[in-house]
Amino acid sequence: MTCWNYLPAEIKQHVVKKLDFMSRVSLGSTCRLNRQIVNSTKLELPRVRFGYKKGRSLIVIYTGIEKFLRLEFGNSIFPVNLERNTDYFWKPSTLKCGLGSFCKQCSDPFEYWYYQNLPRRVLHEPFWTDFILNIDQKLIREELRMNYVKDEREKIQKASKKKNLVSSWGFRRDGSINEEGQGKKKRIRKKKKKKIPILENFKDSEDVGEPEVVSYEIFEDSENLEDSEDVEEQKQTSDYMTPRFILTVVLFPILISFIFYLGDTPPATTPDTTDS
Amino acid sequence: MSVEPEVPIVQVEEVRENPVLYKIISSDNHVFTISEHAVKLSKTLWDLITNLGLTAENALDNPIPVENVNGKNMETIVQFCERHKYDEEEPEYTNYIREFVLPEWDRQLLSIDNEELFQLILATNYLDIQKLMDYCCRVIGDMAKDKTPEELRIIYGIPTDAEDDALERSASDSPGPSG
Repeated sequence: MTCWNYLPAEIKQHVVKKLDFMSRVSLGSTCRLNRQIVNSTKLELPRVRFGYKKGRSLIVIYTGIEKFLRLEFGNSIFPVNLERNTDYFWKPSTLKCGLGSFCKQCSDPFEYWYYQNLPRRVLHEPFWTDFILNIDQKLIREELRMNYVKDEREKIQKASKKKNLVSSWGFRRDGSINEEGQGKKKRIRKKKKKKIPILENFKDSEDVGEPEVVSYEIFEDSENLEDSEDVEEQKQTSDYMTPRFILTVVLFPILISFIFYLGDTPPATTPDTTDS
Repeated sequence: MSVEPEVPIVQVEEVRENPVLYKIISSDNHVFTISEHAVKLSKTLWDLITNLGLTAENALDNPIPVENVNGKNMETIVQFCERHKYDEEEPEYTNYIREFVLPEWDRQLLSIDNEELFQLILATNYLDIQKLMDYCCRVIGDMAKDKTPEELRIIYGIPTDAEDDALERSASDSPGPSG
């Protein structure tokens, strides 16, 4: 039976050239031989963002609008051969109006999405925002937060109108989760958003719409820890009203004291039989 | 060349303008007629024709045997070549994966089962038809879209590393040809 293994390596490489990034990763994970074939084929990524700061490195591979693979490494440097292709760079000749990448009509859709979401990224990734001056100022941060909340509300309203959600590219779509689970998740998210409007979705630093199904994050930004503490405090306050809390704090001491009370009481006096 | 075809000649597509026709015999003795423009898409066949010195007069009398390709695959190949014989060269894509769209006619032609498709790729590779090779690879690539490694193993029939190792071990343990 003719199958993949019967094909010569050159044809396999030819097929791999036609695959997108995530399919290459999948094929490379099937066996050693395919990994070698995938690694030997040149990979072209139109948009990649690199970051390196204080021993931490970040790679974001953009595969489309609201579709990306985010990798973050700590204390590791790995050699990568990179080749720049100037075809993908922005050309001034294509500029139709003065707004450039901020124009919805004439700019590239990806460029528009990217620049529209730049403030959000700054808010989510404070560790990687050295390229903007005065970002540490509290007023700017607050303003960004307010804008974020406003934008999120609009997005939720829009998302509730849209019924068919398109899953992220490159990741497997699980029907049960997307169709049934998605609705539940949404409801839970909405409930949570009512309570903590700002702190929600802070972990999905790059995403602005529907969060990614899978994100290969090795660790979160340490700056977000402050926010997570706030969330924990809020959770603790909600824990006071749970039945488990009532059981342990109120009923359990009463029960113990009752047992001690029973143990301390002298046994009922019985008539002495030895005297008779 | 004295190959007697057992099966009647299959006329795949009516040839309109070009009077020069060539005959190709597949491994299972099916005979196909193909026009000059169409046969030029296959580098192997065209080299063979020029080396043999076949002309418009003696082309039909001297059928070209192709031992590595069966009738079914040859029929697909001839259909494809006849369809695309007057095509212009495709533009250079900056991002092939995103920009290139497989034409509907070709998608239907190549909507065959996996085994046949892999056989067709091998035949295309032998006949050196670049365009068909690109299209076939694209179809195989589309099969892998949004699939997990386990699913790919099933679709492509890829054995695991453990199975590969076991096969290698059994091949090395088995006695070689006695001589």
